[in-house]
Amino acid sequence: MPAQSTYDCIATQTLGSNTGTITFSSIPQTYTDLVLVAYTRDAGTNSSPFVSPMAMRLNSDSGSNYSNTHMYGNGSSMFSSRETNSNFPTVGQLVTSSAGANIFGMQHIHFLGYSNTSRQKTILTRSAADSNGQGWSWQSVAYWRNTAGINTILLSGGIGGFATGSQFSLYGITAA
Amino acid sequence: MSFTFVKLAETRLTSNTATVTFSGISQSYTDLQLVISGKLNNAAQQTGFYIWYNGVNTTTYSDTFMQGAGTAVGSGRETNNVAAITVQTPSNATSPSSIFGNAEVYIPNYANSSNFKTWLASGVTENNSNTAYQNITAGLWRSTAAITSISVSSFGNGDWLTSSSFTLYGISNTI
Repeated sequence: MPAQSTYDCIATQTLGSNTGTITFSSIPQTYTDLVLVAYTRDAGTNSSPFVSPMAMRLNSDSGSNYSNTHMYGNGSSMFSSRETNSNFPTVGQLVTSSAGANIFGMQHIHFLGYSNTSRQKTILTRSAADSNGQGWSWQSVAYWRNTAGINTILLSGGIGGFATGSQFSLYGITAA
Repeated sequence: MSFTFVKLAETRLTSNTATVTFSGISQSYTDLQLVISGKLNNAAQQTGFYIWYNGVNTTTYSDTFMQGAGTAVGSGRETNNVAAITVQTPSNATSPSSIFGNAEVYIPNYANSSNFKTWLASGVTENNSNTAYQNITAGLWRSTAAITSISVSSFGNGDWLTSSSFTLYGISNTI
């Protein structure tokens, strides 16, 4: 890997088959923040709305150590909700296969101070899923009550898992 | 040495301009990010701007957005449109001359020729007096064509004002 610059791609995964969860592990602790950009589709089907939740775990922690606050709009109404003491917090919405062929959504996930071992972790997610008549625009903040540096990120794909062609890219950002 | 986050092009307006277009976009990156500091010449307090690709203005665009306006929140949608609404920008009718809005449009897998194009737009305006907005918008262009040009305008609701700036970045996931 070349010398570290301000904005580096650390790892990327492009799915050649439907996959229930994806994991980035052994994340170097040499950056200040992480950004994970996900280009996603849920391989499953559902009735309206054609979206499903994407969930996250950090460092394989399956304890009730997560919370989050969301705000989202579905094209006619706007909502806000919260999860507390969750063990698998929702961090975005996926377009499902019910939306039709060729449609993917995206998530932009920012892990602030991920390597700082003095602070518990805050994660900001923005999510976009539109299918010409249905969809969500979504923003959430997640909180992991742990001061450990984030070395593993697991994302879980909704109903049927992440569809073939979904892509996940992890970037490191250096402040100095 | 390859770089991950690269400025591809920049436009800073020296006169009022109806439409800003980036064309001949390199196909060598994974994602695109368009960053705008802008203001529109319009009598309304706020004006949304639209985005379209490759010069195509057929009814192949749609969007879902949410917004907060300081006193109320709301969500809306457009379907089968000739361009997609992104976010609100301030207009010179009610904002002091020095106030511009900020917007960011992130377009993943823009060079993909298998799937429709999706993007996330976010934007903010604030003027300490009149209605101001913050928006997040999900957009869809039902075309599998790779994106080679991007155009933004108010679609007849005022020109971009002098000093508005538009910067296009390419992001590569090559390690």
